[in-house]
Amino acid sequence: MNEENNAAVNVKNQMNYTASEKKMIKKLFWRMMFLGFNMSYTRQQGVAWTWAHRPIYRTIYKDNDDKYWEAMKRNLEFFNTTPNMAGIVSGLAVSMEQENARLKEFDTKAISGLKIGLMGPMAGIGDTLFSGVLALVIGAIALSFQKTGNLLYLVFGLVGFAVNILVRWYGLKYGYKMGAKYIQKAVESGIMTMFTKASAIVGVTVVGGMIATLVKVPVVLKTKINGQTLDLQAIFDQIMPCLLPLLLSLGCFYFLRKGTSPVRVLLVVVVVGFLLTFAQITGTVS
Amino acid sequence: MLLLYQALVVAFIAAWGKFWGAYGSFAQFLGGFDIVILALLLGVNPVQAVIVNYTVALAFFGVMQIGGVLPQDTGYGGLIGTSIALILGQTGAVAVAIAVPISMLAVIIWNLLKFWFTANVEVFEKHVANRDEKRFTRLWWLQIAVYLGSYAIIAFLGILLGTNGIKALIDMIPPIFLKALVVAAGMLPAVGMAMLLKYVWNNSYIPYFIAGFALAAYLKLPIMGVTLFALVFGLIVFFLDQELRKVRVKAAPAGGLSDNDEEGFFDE
Repeated sequence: MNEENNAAVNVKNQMNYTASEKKMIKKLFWRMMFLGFNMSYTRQQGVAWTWAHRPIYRTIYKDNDDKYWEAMKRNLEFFNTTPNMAGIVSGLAVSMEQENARLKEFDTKAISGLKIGLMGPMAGIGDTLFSGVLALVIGAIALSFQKTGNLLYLVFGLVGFAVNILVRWYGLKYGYKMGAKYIQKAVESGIMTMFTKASAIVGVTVVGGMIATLVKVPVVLKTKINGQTLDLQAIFDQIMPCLLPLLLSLGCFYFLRKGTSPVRVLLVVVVVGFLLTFAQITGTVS
Repeated sequence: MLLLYQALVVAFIAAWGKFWGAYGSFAQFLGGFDIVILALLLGVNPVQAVIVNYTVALAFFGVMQIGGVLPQDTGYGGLIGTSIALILGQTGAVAVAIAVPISMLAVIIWNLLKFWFTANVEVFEKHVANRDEKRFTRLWWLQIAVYLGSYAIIAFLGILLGTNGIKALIDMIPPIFLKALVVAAGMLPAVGMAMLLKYVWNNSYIPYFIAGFALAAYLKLPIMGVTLFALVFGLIVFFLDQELRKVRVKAAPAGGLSDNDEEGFFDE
């Protein structure tokens, strides 16, 4: 454990940025906002990565035009991660490009290897954190305000927006200084996996709660049997509250897991909703 | 004349929404502002617009983009659906009825655009090989312009040519149909929830799923309350895992697991 602690101290000591480094990080921060544009099937964000880093490479390889164009060509390679998380990878990769400019014998495969090695774990954390937890929780709370037309619902998004900006900025800033070894170690040591797992658990719990609050299958069918009114919804509620929303969600989940396309599942749900309403089993509760 | 103005407004908001969707993924959290701007430009009360949009937002809730794969363009579909409902003074159910097919159609547009971007990768490579910075950047911005323009033009034409047809259609449909739409819209969040589950699922998470459901279904906790419990579960697991890792690292040398990855890492 000592080694890890020492590394943390070392990182802190290194965190001094020269004026030109600050300027570069700022520039990269703004240009990396474009990572989500112009995705292609073959390279995903590869072209956007190269476009975003172009002026940075220009500065790094200002004395060597050949190396500059080599970097441009090399970085067009496949790259794909959650755009919000790409700052860390970018910071690291840029520090390695600088090494490449400084040293004669530098294997650029290390830069590609780093990008390929990190984009997966970063997407794992990023998609879970942003789509699986933040957008989910913030969206659910915002929805409860939006329902009544309360414009305050817009404010909740600012929390997620702030996290997005902070991750982008500090990812880039620390990624640049921390060094590949340190981040690689963090990935290998399992801290990232632990974080992703904890986030996933938050997500699963909240989804469980949201199935009960957001999904609605209102049964209005009431039949008379032996003179007694049979309220179907009341019976379902007696078995378990929110029984039908749970079954419907689990049913969708089952088919999605089986590989049915989401669009088909959605269409089936719409058709089922229509059929049940036409049969007067479900309806709008007034 | 009015319809022309409305079509222009929706086209603008469509491109605006697409821009902020890609730029820094800002729309993921701030997309709601688009509806307010749309309402103000259309001269509709923003509160009413937000309520109409609520039904769409709910129906599409949880449908998300993973790894660049978009099952449905819920943002674009929702925007067009809400716009037409607002222009015609209709309810959220009508907005959903328009949003669902448009969201699927928009995926086709995206795939066509992405095909073009893919074909252009070769051109980008050629510009790099020729050391032509100017053409490289020009193609980059051209792609963005075409991307935003496509969605704007389709929204413009859709509103201009489609609104009257949709109005006639709405006047024609029987009330039971609208009722069914409301029911279907209420059931649709199940699809989003299932997609989220599929993404984060692991069989060992079943207890947390049940807990979350029970907290809301039986204890009637609002989502904020469920979230706090969720956070508690997540933190407990995180700290337990941390302890477990420490124990494993300590035990490794004594147990003689020389091929243990973690040991190799800490011995370095």
